[in-house]
Amino acid sequence: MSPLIINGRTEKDLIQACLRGERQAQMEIFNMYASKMMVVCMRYGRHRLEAEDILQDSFVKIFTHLHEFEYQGSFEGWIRRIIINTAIKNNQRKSVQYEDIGLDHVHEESADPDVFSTLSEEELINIISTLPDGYRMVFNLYAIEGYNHREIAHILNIEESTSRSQLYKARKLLQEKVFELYQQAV
Amino acid sequence: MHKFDKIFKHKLSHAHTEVAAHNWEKIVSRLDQADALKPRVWPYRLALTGMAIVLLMVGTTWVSNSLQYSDLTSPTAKNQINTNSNKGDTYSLTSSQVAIPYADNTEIIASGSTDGINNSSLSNDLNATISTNHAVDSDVRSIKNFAASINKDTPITPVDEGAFQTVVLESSIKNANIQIAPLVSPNFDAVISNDEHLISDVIASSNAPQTIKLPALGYQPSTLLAIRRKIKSKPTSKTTPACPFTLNGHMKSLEVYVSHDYISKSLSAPDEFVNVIAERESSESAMYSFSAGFRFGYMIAPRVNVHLGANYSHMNEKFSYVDPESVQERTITIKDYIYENGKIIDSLVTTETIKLPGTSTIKKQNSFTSFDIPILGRFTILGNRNISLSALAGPIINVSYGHKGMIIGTDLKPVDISDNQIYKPQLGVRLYSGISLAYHLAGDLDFVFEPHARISFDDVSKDNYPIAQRHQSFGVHTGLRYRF
Repeated sequence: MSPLIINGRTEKDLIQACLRGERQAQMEIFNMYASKMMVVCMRYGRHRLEAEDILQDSFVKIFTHLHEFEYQGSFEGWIRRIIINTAIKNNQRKSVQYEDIGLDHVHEESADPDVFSTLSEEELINIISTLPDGYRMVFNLYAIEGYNHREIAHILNIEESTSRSQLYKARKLLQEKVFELYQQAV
Repeated sequence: MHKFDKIFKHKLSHAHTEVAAHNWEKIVSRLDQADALKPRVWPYRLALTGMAIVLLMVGTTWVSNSLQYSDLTSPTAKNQINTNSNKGDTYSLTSSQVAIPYADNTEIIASGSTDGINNSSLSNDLNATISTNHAVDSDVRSIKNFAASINKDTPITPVDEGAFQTVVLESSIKNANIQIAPLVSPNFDAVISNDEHLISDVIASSNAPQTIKLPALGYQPSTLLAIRRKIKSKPTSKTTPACPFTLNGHMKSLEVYVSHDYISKSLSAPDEFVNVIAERESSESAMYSFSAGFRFGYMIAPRVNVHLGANYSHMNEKFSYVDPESVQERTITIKDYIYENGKIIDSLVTTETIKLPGTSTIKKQNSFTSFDIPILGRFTILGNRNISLSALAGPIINVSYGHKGMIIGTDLKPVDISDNQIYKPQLGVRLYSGISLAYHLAGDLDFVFEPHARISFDDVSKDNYPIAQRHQSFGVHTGLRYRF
């Protein structure tokens, strides 16, 4: 795969320039990834302002710890991990209470794909951001990032059963909100 | 994967949204602040480098001025008086060729002339400028010992027996039936002969300048010139050799020292722990660190010493962390007064409790202590009666490594480090290197100033702990060395 070229410089060139403290290169890196990472931040934040805080914190960390990037994976993946970690940390600062409920005999409803096709990405993000903090964290980590319950339990310092129950409740709430929006739309 | 999750993932994985320009402006502002707060390691390194350069320059100058007796072994000096010399040739040895390795306050010129008897004899003026401030003695009783120790293979031998100094030049003058001419300077005896015993006798016979006619000595391969400086001024000290580390012998020493240390700490981890590193760097800050110890030294050869000792190092660090999960409860009491016609007729007290999250700060002083055994070799690069400069290097064997306090763990929560879960109980072997400047305070006592580095090739954190931590230590030992 040919390297990505931005303004005549490869991504690696830009990283090297950032390491030398070149603001222009840092801005190019920011412009390259900010719009995509802002979506990640909005998924984890309660509102846009909080998402912007997470984005800013993350990019400051990215540029101050860039020397630790070892080119072992994609740069975008590395940035995304920092964004998610920052979001988790930000969430922990709010002292989120994770509610544990029993999952015995729980039956999950299946989603209707037609409903989702009518909803925009922004609407979906807005729906996620209305979730309580704990639900939102678990849902993002499990459904979007692909972590399993054991990993989520470790990351958020909660029980695995708590992670499962939070996910269940998150899905339930999301489905309700999606149907609400769908009904309003039709 | 749940169908519901799949839809969300599919729709949001590659989504973009607009980002306001003020975000970048705020990031730049914070990066500028971070740059301003970066620890300035380079001035420290620059200072160390500068100090090393200055020491080397001073040393080089010193060597060229004071320790050039080794130049006398150069072919120029060795061959200046040689088999091709003819009657009437004049030789003049420069100070760089005949400089006794101890700087002097007074310069003394010694001149002697030789007058040949047969056809191949020489009549040369020999001038030698000798600079020395080394205390010498008029006692010539040891001169026989000196003469007996002359090595004919050595063109010039500066001899320091503590009481006097003698320089012996060797030239390759064949057929030299040599007569000692009157010496110009009363401060020197100069004897030219190819018979070392004769030199010994001549010098021993009198302290005064003299002329001695030597018999023809046949075809000896070389001729010796001995120049001995006599007393010109009172000795400053009979017991202080110029530099104790450049002499022969098996001198022992004991030194004690303390040092302020600068610890360079580095943290590294796989990409997924970059957040942990960021939290650790913001919560840990360096405090005063020091080391102290003692060393025994033993001179195994001129200029070469070995040292064995014990060293204790103490590194302090401040840990400051705002616990986001902490909640402070505050009770607010509000008292409302009820007025009627401008007078208070009653009061109403209400109490309210509010919770303030993230208000608890954990503050700890972390300390890392190590007890080491240094095994060092020291080579004295140069020295005179006042000062000597040495280079040291060798392994430091760690005996124990202690640690207490708190750090941010991999789960981004504070953890105690007193047990050996995160840090090693022993650090293995590190490398010590330094430059030691010793000022000879008194006969057997030196003040030692030693910029040094302790280089680690391994982490202080355990190998199975994901955040690798390594310390490099720099400092300046100051202490005293006693020679016995």
